[in-house]
Amino acid sequence: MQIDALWCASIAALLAPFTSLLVAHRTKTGNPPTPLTEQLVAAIYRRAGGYGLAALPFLTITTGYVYVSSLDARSWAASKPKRDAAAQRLRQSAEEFSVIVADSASAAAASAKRSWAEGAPARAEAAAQLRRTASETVVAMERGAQQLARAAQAARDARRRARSSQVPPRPSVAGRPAGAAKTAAVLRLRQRKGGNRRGGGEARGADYALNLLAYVGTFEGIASARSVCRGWYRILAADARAQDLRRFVARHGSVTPKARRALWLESCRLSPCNVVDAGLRDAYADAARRGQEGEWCEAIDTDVPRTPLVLLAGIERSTLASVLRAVAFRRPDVGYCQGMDYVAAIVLRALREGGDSEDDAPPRAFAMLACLLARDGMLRGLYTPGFPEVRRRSYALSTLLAATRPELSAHLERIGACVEVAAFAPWLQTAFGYHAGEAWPYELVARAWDVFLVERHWKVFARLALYVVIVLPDGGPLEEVMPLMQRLEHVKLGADADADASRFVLERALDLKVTRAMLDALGDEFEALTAPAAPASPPPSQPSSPPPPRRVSKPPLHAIPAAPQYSVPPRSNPPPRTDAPARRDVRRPSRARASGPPSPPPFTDL
Amino acid sequence: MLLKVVILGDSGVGKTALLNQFVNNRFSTSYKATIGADFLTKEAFCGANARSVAIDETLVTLQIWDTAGQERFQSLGVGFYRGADVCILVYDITQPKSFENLDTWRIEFLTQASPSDTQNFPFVVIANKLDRENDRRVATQRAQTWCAKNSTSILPFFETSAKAATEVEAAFRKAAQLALSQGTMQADFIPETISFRGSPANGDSKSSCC
Repeated sequence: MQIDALWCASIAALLAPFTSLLVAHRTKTGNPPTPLTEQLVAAIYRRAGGYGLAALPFLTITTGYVYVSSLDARSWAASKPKRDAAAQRLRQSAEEFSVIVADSASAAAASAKRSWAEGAPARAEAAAQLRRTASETVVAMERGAQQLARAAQAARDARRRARSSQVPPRPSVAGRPAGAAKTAAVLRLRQRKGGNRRGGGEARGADYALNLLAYVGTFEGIASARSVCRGWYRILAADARAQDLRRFVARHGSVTPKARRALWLESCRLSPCNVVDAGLRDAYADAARRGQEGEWCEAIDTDVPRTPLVLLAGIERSTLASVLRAVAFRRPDVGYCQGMDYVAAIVLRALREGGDSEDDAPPRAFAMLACLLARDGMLRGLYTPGFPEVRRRSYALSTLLAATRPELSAHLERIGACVEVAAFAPWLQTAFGYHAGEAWPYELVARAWDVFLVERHWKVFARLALYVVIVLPDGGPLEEVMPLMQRLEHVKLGADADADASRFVLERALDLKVTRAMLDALGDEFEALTAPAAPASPPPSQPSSPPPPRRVSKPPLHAIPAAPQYSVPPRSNPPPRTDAPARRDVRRPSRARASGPPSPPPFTDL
Repeated sequence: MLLKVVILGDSGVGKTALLNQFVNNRFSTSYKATIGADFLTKEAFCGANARSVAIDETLVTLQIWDTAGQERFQSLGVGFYRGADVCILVYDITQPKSFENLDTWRIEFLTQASPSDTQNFPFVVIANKLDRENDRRVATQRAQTWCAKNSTSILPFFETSAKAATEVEAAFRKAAQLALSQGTMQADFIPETISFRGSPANGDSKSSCC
């Protein structure tokens, strides 16, 4: 306190001359000068001199600084306990914090250790599973290789025998377990002589490549192989076996939705590129608009709301109706027929699932359907008035059924099951879409379509239809047989069956020995049968025309070649006739061939 | 005893719904369009005579064939029209076209089934969707006139609703009874059965015998 007063006094003393100077100055400027103040000022100036004045501010600042620092030092000293306390608190909290961190870290480490220890059995299990599947795969591969070797040996033997006996062997895959079909197909692929065989080494290379691709079994695999290497591209582009390979993959390989879309579009000569051609888009819009006035609209509006929801799977009914109207407009001679909604839904769904947007799918579906219903389209005759193709195909199927299982065929006819109308017609006219999502999963129907479109022939549907009928039990009244055929209850998989089940049914159907030549020959036979009965007659819908000859009851015996060729399938070893009591009352029909193959046992394991 | 019944009519008039209501006592709004033909059976007790009591009722199995309604499918019909004992013609009271097509269906059936007695082949006419009375566009009178002029005897006529199960049972029972009486008449020539055909059995008889 004393120091403070001292300092204040000294500062006041130092500032006094200034103050007086300032006072003097103010009086000089503001008031008339007085001689006294002038003298005083002059005296001060004189006495202080230049140095004194100049030192004044410096002194002031210095003293001020010293004073302030002394103040600081005092307050600093005074705050020491506070600071010490704060530091103490800080230290304490830091210690606490470090304790907490250490605790939580140790807890986390412990829990991690615990969970790792807990997961040990699961990991061991998974590892064992992996090891198991790997070993199973190895075993399966070894088995497959053995099968291949055996089949190759058998083929060699058969060839040798054939050479020695001069009878061409007829390779057949029927009757073998489902997996054998794939093996046999690989073998066929290997045996088939390519269109342009190159030199020995390269041919071997091509064989190797094709076998490898066949093993891969996906269209993606083929496509990527094609794009990766020029050699592969050449093999796939030039080799006549490439088409076989495509067919093989469609039948036995796997087709993803994306590959399916490309495959289907390609088979209808449409570009699978991502952007829909503007011309096609316009054509579709135009056809859909102008199709709204057709006579078919009423039927479409009746049917589209009834198309099963399970088949549509998210496709708008308005989209389906619009596509159908456009197709009907584009193909006015076909128009709209019940059943086309199923086909359109199948196509739309495949396109949508393959990645087409909501705007792209309808024009493409329109183009695909227009292609399938064109003059030589594969589905056209199923819908044109009179259903020429339905009758033709039903006849072929009935004849094949009669040749394969004469007792069953006769039984069905006797009890009045109109197999053609009640079974074959709906199956063919909806391309098995009638049962998609109910008895059969959509996947199976889509797979059948893959084969159908790659082969460009209805053979696969014929095989499926035949398969469904062939596995019917032998006897039974109409009330029991019809639900089986209508709802496929004896071969039912359910809407969400897995891919393996679908594959199983398809493989069994493909095992049936039905060839394109057979079906075409039977179709021609039907034409020949009906042509003289109604020479240049109007379509049979006319009431006045005589009814066409019963297709099943009067197959021309002379026109059917020897039984073994048409029997489906030509099973070499007769199965045990465990179901004999069921057909105790079946009289063998006259047209049953004497050497008719025994009927296979019903596949009750389905 | 087996009776074969065929149901005909335009697409979407409710043939499948009627059939399911009769056989399974169920109605669903989501029937698929029938493609080709469908088939259901039901066993029922039925007498041949409209006025008979339960004594001479027999157990009959009705084999009912449901058909695709689109006109094009008529060409496939020949297989299962044959051997039919009775035919049920269905139209939709909200669709005049379906009523006008009854003629076509009847003639088509008679042509393709070619029964022995074309004039007296039993038909039953059903006007379906009575639950949509507000949308009615075919008057009952018109249908009754049609029924009267198309046969030597008046065709039985029922207005039904498959949705509300109105008169469905009665219509099918009438059909079964007609088929039975026709069958007995043709098989045994029992004169009593003629009494039914001679009786003023108009369409509204509820066939209470069954």
